[in-house]
Amino acid sequence: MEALSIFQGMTTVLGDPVTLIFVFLGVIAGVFVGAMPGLTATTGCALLLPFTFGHEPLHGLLMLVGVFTGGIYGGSLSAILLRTPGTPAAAATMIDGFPMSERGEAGRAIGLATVASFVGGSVGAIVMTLLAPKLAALGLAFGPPEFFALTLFGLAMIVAVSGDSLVRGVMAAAIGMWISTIGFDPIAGSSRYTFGIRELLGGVELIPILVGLFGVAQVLARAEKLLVFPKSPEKEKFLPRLSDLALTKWTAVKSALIGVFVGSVPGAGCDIAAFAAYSELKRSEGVGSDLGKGNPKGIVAPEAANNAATTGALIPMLSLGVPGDAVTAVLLGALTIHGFEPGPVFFSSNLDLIYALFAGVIFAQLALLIVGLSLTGLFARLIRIDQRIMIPAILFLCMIGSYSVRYSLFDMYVALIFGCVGFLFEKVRIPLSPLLLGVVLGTLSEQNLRRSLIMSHGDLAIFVQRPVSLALTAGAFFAIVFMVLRLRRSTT
Amino acid sequence: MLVLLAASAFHIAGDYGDGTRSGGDVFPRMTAGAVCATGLLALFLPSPATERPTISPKSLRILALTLAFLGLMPSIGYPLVAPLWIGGAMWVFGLRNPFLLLSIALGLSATAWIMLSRLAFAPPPAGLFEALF
Repeated sequence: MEALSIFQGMTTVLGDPVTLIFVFLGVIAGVFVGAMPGLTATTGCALLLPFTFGHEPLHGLLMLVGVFTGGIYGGSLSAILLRTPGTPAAAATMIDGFPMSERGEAGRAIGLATVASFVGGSVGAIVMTLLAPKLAALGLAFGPPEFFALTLFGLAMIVAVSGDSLVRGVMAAAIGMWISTIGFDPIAGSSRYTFGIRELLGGVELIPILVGLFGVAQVLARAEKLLVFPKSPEKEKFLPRLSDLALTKWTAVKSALIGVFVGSVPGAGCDIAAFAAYSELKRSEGVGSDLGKGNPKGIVAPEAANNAATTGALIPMLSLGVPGDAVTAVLLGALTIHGFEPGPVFFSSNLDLIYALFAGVIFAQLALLIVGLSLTGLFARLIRIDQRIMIPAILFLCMIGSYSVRYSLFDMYVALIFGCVGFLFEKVRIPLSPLLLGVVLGTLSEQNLRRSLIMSHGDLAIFVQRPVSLALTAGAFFAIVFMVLRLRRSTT
Repeated sequence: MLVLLAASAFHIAGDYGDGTRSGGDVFPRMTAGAVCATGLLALFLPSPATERPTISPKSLRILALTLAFLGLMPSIGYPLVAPLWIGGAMWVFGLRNPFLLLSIALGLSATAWIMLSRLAFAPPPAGLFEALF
């Protein structure tokens, strides 16, 4: 049954040239954004999200998946060539990638990173296709207490891994959830915190918040410190050697499995997956290895893991409606904007779309391989575009992107305000990912909290009386306790 | 400031309740209360090394330019204000080549105008140029 659905999904994707074009466009845009230091896959998705409105949901979503996949891979280009990871997920790639580049083997390193990303993404996509339906079937048995506990668990996980200050992480998540309460009460229908402003009745739009936090804030940061890049290298081929592929094949598969597992844990994200795979490689290679000095395996492990994590992060997002990280939070927002309510019910009632999406994710990996092997030379030159042109252009795109949500100047002001908030929060080390996740999960969390309380006549014990809800609440509690203990150990 | 804001949000949330434990005030109070509590904790707990939350003059100029763009757009109109804003921002970032400044400012704003007016049928306010478009 599943094999047939996947086959039908493949036919939908491969039989429609427009879908293929959207995937390719997404991957190209993603590689470009990811390769630009300072811009992340989240920024890319946030900037492109408004442009998906007028299109079929599948086209828009696959373009964003392409941006996600391409963005995580793109980070490796600047990590290898410029010793500046384009995205946090590429920081581990830099450790061995840049020494290879210094030896004059940048092409070989990028070729390896491309193939490793393809292998990682493909393994992850297969695991996602097999696992997500099972998880969604499990999720169908969830009631309001379980969903509230799940959102709590997701937030606790992202807070626990989001930075060096737990208090600031909790504060960011709480601010995000508070922002989600602006506008109509989702149950009673009365307005809250609108202060007579008509534009706030429907709540603060997600896209201006995203664009502000991840786009405008970056522009303001770059205004303080512009990056200057070294000159372009000589023309070279960006293809891996067959002997390298043979040497690293098991590293790629093992790291991909680590990546998909880590990525599927809400909050963990691609950067943690990359470092987890690199640590495992370090352990398995032993003390005498030349890791850190330009070992090809040191590129393959993090690249396979971080791209596998992109598909891993889609598992809880698609099956349970809980995003794994900031990018999947944007994808979740995209689904909502296109009129879907992500979660187990969405999964069972939109099987055609889901399986076409799975097929599209698998195809995105192939698109990444083609784009990576053929256009890397172009991207290597593009990432050196004059920042004095690029950064104002990004600011302009941020503003136009915010305007295009409701064709309202108000949303441009919102983007600007959140840009300042994001910029200042980064300075005082308040993490932005929990804030975004708080905004995205806030309404779902409130609805399920209040429905649970209505069911139990206000008795909070309902969250610990049901086994799944108890397990998730306990998971959230232990994640926080574990983080507190770790922080305490690291400070003593 | 954040703590004060959260405290007032907590206070205002009282108006949204219906006297039950599942009213419209529960979640806003929970979240605003959490912001307040963590904000106070952050003030007293040892914190990781942070930068001073200041904005550099260049960032301030970019912000001021953007605010001027947003403020003037309804009256003067996007066709004039947008190229000036993009050009101004590139100037603030240090670009001095007049050909590049002009071509990028005009090219970017015209592309966005065409996309918004022809594809989305929602052009930005034309202001003084209303009669032309």
